Parts: sequence; structure tokens; C-alpha cells
Amino acid sequence: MVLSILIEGLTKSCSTVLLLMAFLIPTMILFEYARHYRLIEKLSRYFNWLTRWLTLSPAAAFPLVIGLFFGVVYGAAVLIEFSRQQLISKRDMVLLGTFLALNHSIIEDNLLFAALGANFPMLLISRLALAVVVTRAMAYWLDSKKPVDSSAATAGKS
Amino acid sequence: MNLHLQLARDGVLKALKTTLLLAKIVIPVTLAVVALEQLGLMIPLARWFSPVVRFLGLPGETALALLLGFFVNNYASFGVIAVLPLSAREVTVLSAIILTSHSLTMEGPVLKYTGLSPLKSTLIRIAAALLFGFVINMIYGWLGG
Repeated sequence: MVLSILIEGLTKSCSTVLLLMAFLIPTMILFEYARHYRLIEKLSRYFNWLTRWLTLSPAAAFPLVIGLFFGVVYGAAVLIEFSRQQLISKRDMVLLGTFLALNHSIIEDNLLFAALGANFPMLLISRLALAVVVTRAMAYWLDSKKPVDSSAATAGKS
Repeated sequence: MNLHLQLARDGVLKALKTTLLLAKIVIPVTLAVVALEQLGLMIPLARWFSPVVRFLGLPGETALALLLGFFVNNYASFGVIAVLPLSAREVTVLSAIILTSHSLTMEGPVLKYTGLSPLKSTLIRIAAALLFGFVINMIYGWLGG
């Protein structure tokens, strides 16, 4: 029993890891090029409406677009890179995470379930609406919490 | 050094680092799920969840699709939905829930890098997904679908 769990588990996880690697290598090379030629800034213009809806800085457009089209696991490299280099604020990072948690990989995943008879435009639009509403609620909560935090910090310093 | 060579090298190195990081999530999660399946614990779990799916206008068997979606991935619940005789409304409601909330054990640790804890992202996703499914089901009711 233990052996068969180990064999099946390791076979399945190894193929997933290989798949991830096959996807990540070209993605990360593309990411390096995008960074070198400042494509992030150029791309962000087309997604200004979404970052504005979510009250995010325009710089969040790149990880947002990557997550929307490639998903959370495949987009992880970019998310980790943005969080490590602190390219956007902590607040924006959490909101980005909230939005992408609910709505990512919007073409591939929605098409997958449309193949079973689900309504594709309904899924696409309603998921976007849901994610925007929840993210805005989270933003409202974070922003109303913030003044308390900063006053506590200054009180601690003085 | 040649610019393109440098960019490619940096990209590959970052990809390998990330793969290693994700492997640490993928391998134990896959092992745990395979163990659950092989020990026959998946089916009783699904039976326990069936009252929840009736509230969403879904038949009892779909609980397994939701559970597999939540804790394994989209593709696992895809397999279940494919074999069940469901209407367009039921498939859309199920899809909406699963697409909003899936692969939680895998994506939770990844989302941690945004500063959202795995517990928080999991709770937000399950709550939002169930409410979402309820609303979509209601909209279909209004449209008479």
C-alpha cells in the first residue's frame, strides 16, 4: 500500500514538475526580455482600466496580466519576483493575490469547462465581476485598517 | 557578454529556482492526495458534503466534483463532471464554483508570496465560490433556465 502510494504519487508529481519546468523556462526568458525592453510599462497601458478598478498602481498590471492568462502556479515566478524586489506596495500585492485567487487562467480554464457545456461568456464576465467586488471589499478593509496601524507605529516610536 | 545570452541565462536560472520552489509544494501535496484516494477516504468525504451542494441546486454526486476541484485540481473535477448527466445550468454553476476555488492546497502556498496567508486565501475562495454558485443558480432561476 505504502509503496503503491509512493510510486503513484512520485510519478504524478514528477510529471507535474517537468511540465512546470517546460512552461517556466520560456516564460522566465520572456520575462527577462520584457524587463530589459520595458515591455511591462508598455503593456500596463492596456490594462489601466482593470488596475484602476482594483485601486492598484499601474505597475501591478504585469503580474496581473500574467496571472490572468497563465494562472497562479505558472505565474508564481513573476509574483515571487515582484514580491522579492518589492516592485509594488504590500497593499497592492495582497489585493493582487486576492484578485488572482478568485480569477486566473481565464482563457484556458474557462474553455476547459465550456467544453462540458458551461456558458463561456457567463463564466468569464461573472468571475471578473466577483473578483473585482471581493478585491474592492478587501481594499476597503485594508485602507480603513491602515490609519490605526500607522498611528500605533508612531506611538511605539515616540 | 552577449545581451541575448545573458537574458536567456538569467531567465533559465530563475525558472529553475522557481521550479525547485514549486516542487517542494507539488510533491508532498500529490502524495497526500494519492494516499487519500488509495485509502478510500475520498468517497465518504464527498458523501458528508452532499447537503451543501443541494443548497446550490446541484445533485448530491456533484459534491465529489467540488471536493476534487478544491483539493486536487480542475482536471480531477472535469473528469467527474464529464460522467454525470447534468444540465447546462448545473454545469455552469459547478464550473463557476470550481474555477473560483480550486487546487487550494497547491495555490494557497503559492499565493502566500503575495502576502495573503494560505488559510485566508482558502477561506476567501471557498466562501466567495459558494456564494457565487448560489447567485449564478439564482440568476438562472430568474431567467427561467
